[in-house]
Amino acid sequence: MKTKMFVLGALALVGCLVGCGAATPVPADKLARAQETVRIAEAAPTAMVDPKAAQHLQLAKEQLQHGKKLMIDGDNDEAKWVLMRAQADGEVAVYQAQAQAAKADAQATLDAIKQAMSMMKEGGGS
Amino acid sequence: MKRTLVAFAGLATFAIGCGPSRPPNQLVDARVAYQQAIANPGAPLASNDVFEARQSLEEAEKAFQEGDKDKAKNLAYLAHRKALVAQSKADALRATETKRVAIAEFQRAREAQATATRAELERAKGALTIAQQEAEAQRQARTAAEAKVTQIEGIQAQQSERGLVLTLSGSILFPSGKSELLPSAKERLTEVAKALKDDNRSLLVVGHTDAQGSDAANEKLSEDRAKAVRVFLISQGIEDQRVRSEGMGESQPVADNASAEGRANNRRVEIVLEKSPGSGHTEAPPKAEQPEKKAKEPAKKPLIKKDQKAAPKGEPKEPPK
Repeated sequence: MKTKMFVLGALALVGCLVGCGAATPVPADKLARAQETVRIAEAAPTAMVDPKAAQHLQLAKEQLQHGKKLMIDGDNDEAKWVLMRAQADGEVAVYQAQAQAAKADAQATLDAIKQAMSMMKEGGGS
Repeated sequence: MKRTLVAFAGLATFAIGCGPSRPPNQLVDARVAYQQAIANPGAPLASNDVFEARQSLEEAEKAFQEGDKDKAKNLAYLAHRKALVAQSKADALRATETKRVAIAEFQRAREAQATATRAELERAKGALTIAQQEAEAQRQARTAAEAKVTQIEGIQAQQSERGLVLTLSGSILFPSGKSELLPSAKERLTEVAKALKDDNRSLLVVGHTDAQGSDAANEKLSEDRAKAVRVFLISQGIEDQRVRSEGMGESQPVADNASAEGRANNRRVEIVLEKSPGSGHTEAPPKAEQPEKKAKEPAKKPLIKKDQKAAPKGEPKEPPK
């Protein structure tokens, strides 16, 4: 009788574990992508300087931490979404930083060209 | 009645629950961000990213329509970020394109300026070549003119600071005390005019006398003789504005007026081929030596009034030649 009870209990536990695991697997890939994106965003020079990019980077970092905690807590479904959001915010930070850098570079070029054109007009009016 | 009210309340509750509910803030934000992304001037440059943002927004809208609020919120959040990424990429690509166009325009302008400068340089080179050719032609014409004019009999040529000075003895040009050219003088001056016709230098004809007679008379005579030579040269084809004349009287002797030979040398007409127009007669020509004056010193301008009875007008003692 005891043996029968033990077997039934073990089967119930495995079934529960298998059932829970099949619902939402551990979002290891989402975690890796989010971590990589945050790392890239942090490496972008203007991401810290540009207010909007810095805000999204901060959000990404916070959500990355939150996602990790949810994974530890076993809430893989919520963790998956939070990590996707972390990655999305990290990407926004990266591209906003790149856009700022491109704008600054273009403006510097335009200024330099304007100055050169002015010099050309002064020197080339012979 | 009570049953009817309860049924109506239940129906209303069901209707409110199933009707179009208010979209979550995330979805509203995503819609706005997407509209901003497609309105971005650089959107055509980032068409792939705009397309991805649209797909993401459509997934969120679908989840919202299906009533899965949590999924709709999460997908809308992601759609919002996709739209922001599309905007940023459009901004970056637009800035890069602006830079590229500006550089291309600058290079075109620089090339156009370089082309214009090269053309200007070529024009200047051409003008310089022409000027050099003209200068060389002038130099050759002058050399030829000088060679011709110095070969004319009775003319002495000497380089001076003013230019080439051609000296013609007064005795071969004019009768004594007069300013009408002798026929032999006309022959020589015709040759001079012919030689100098193609030379563009200005000519200054300067008349000189010896010290016989009054200063005023000598001044007048020297002026008249210089004018006569000038008029004759013009009649032979020398341009009017090229020739000036002036009389120096007896003020610039080149020999001793005490001897007949010296006086003969002092009676002369000089034709100065000026180095530059109007270099003028401001300096006395170089003298071999300052002759001693017996009767009087050479008058200096302004003329000093002299004793009129010292000699009659002109050059009374000049031997006719």
